[in-house]
Amino acid sequence: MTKIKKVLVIDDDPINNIIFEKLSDITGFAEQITACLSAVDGLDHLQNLQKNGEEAPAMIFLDIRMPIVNGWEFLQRFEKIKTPYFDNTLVYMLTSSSDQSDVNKAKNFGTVSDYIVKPLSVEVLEGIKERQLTQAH
Amino acid sequence: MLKTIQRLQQENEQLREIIANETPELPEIHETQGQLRSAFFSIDDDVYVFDKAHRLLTSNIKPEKTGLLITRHEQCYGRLFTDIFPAPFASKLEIALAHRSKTEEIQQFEYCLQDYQVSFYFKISINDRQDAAGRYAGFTMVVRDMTEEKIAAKKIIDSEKRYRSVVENVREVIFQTDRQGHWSFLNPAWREISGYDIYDSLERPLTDFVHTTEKKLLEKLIEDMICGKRHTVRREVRFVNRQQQIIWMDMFVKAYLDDNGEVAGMSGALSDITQRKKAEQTVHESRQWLESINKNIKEAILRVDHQQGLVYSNCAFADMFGYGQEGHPVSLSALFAQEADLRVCTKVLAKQTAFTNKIILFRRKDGSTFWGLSSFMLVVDENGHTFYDGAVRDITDRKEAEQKLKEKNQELIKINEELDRFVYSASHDLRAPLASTLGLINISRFAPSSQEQGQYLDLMEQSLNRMDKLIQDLTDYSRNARLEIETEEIDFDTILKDVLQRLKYIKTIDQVKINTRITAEEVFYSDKIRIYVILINLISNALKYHKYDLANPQINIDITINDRQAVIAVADNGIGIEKGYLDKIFTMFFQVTRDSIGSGLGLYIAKETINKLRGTIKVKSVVSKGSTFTVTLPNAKTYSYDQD
Repeated sequence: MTKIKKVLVIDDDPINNIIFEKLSDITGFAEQITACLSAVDGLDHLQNLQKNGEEAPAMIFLDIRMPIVNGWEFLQRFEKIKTPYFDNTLVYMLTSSSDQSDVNKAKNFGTVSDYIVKPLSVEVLEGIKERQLTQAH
Repeated sequence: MLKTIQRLQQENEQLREIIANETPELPEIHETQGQLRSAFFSIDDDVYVFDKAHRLLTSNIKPEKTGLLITRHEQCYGRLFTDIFPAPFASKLEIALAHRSKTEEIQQFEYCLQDYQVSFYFKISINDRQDAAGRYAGFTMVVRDMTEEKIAAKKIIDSEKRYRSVVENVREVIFQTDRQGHWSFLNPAWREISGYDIYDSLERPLTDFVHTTEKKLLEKLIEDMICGKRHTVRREVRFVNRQQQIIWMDMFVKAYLDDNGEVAGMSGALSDITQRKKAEQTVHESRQWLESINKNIKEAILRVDHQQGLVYSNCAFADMFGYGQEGHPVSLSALFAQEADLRVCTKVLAKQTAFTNKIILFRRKDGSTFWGLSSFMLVVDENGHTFYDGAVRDITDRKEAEQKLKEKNQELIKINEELDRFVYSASHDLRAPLASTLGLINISRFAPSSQEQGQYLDLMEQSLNRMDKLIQDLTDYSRNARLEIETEEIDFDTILKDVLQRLKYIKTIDQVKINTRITAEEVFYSDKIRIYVILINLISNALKYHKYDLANPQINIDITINDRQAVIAVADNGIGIEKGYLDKIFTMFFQVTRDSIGSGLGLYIAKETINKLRGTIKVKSVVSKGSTFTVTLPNAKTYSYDQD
């Protein structure tokens, strides 16, 4: 089974990171998962990868409501620092908000590929993986 | 013969002497005769004396007059009466004489002499004359000229006729009463005006027909007139007609006297002035109405003349514009604060003659301004004189209210936005732990070991605790916003014990030393539940942001009470707060770091509750050294929450 190489999860709730990792195990989703508990940490991580010439993550799973810097602000900052290096990086919103205004807001960000409402399930994760692999080939 | 004559002469002489000496009365007789003669010739009536054969003996007719005689009287003496009087008179006299001979009474008759167009009236009396022996000696005829009397009497009759016609045809009621004030005469106008029959009204008291409210007064006036205290009364009196309607009468009454000078009754006139009274009343009422409007309405009403300025203004105008009641000659331009308004208004008036409900900024006498809702009208009188008639209502209050409403509206919009944000955040934050729990349930299905499942259950508990905390916080928030302040004596010891009991679920609580010191000069009164909410949020905040790796972590709670206030200081030696966040920590859902038990509402709720109690909260913090929150709350023992 082919796995997605690198995934970055940004969520301030460690429980969500635990859930993500477990579901990834179950579905054979990703080879490597990095979990950041704040948006600032996430940005730092991405910049470090680029700086060190490491491979960019294929996907970023991003929460919206986080202290200090929230998901929207992360997207603004990310779009600013985005270079061709991140061309193959897809951003998925992973949030407990099912608010339509948030869904619309996400659509306005060109970098956002999809909007997933928690709780994350095996089926959703498998669907994402399938789509990613068929698009890549 | 001669001797005889001489003797007779002597005798006569003697007789004369005798008479002269012996009858001293004779000269008196002579005198009486003279007097009678003088009287005879001086009386006004013509007296004719006839002898037995009805021939004129003598008369007192003056030489220049003829009386009834057909010719001068000197030529009539000795002639028969049938020859000296005109034939009609002579025949009348003849009849009277014939009558006289039968009845022996003094005969009187009247005679009218027509001389050309003029009538002369005479009254004739005839009486017998007798000689000394009592035999018939002829008759005396006295003719009295009645012409003047007759004319006077005729005049009286004519005037009486005229008077009667006047009395019967005038519109005024003419009346007479007796001494008791009962009608004794009423002219037909009474019936016209009152509807009562005259004969039914007569002999009834005048006051019977007067309106009850005036009866007493009128009775008194009549009494005064009868006593002679008053001679006339003139007043407007209300009568009641047969249809029971009020008739206003202008009444003029005068007492009239009998021959003895006593008051015999009253006479007078009543004229119907009901129409006039009604008109007067209408005028009076409308004047009163206008007066009342003038006094009571709050709108300023004014009339401005082009040349003379203000020609009329009401009380409200004086108050509103600050001018005295005298009505100073104010021009329209003095009343308008903005010249542009005046220009526009006069233009509109010239074009359309009126405008209504225009909001204009006016100027008072002292120069201050106010907003007035005004309507104006251009009026041209019959002389071509132009006036501006206007009404102005001071709407400063309304304007202010509008302004307040605007502000309130802005505030509401702000509150609404805040509420929207609140609902958004709260619902999101309520859903987050739920989504986590569902996620945990999902993965626990794939957990091979019960150990792993136990781990997931712990995480579920954590998530649900967070949700529970948020719900509790929301309840506290809503309670604070909703409920009135209820003050009672505060026992800080007990409240602190309850708080710490409640915070026991925070696992780190046992690692922190909590010192409390309460210094009370005075009993403290406040809202117990709100004090609890403030303390639990401050203390749980201090517990959450502690450096547990540090030796000797502690929280010092210091409470000082006096009669005015309580100062509560919660100090920790924890992680502290960065300067940049200090002004944000009291905002809704603000969190510096992720914390598993916080809702992001704690300090916000504390601050809101302190605000409600009209207290203050201050924070001092040094990163890595710790923070001190100082709360000051008024002591309700001396502070009243009713004041505002």
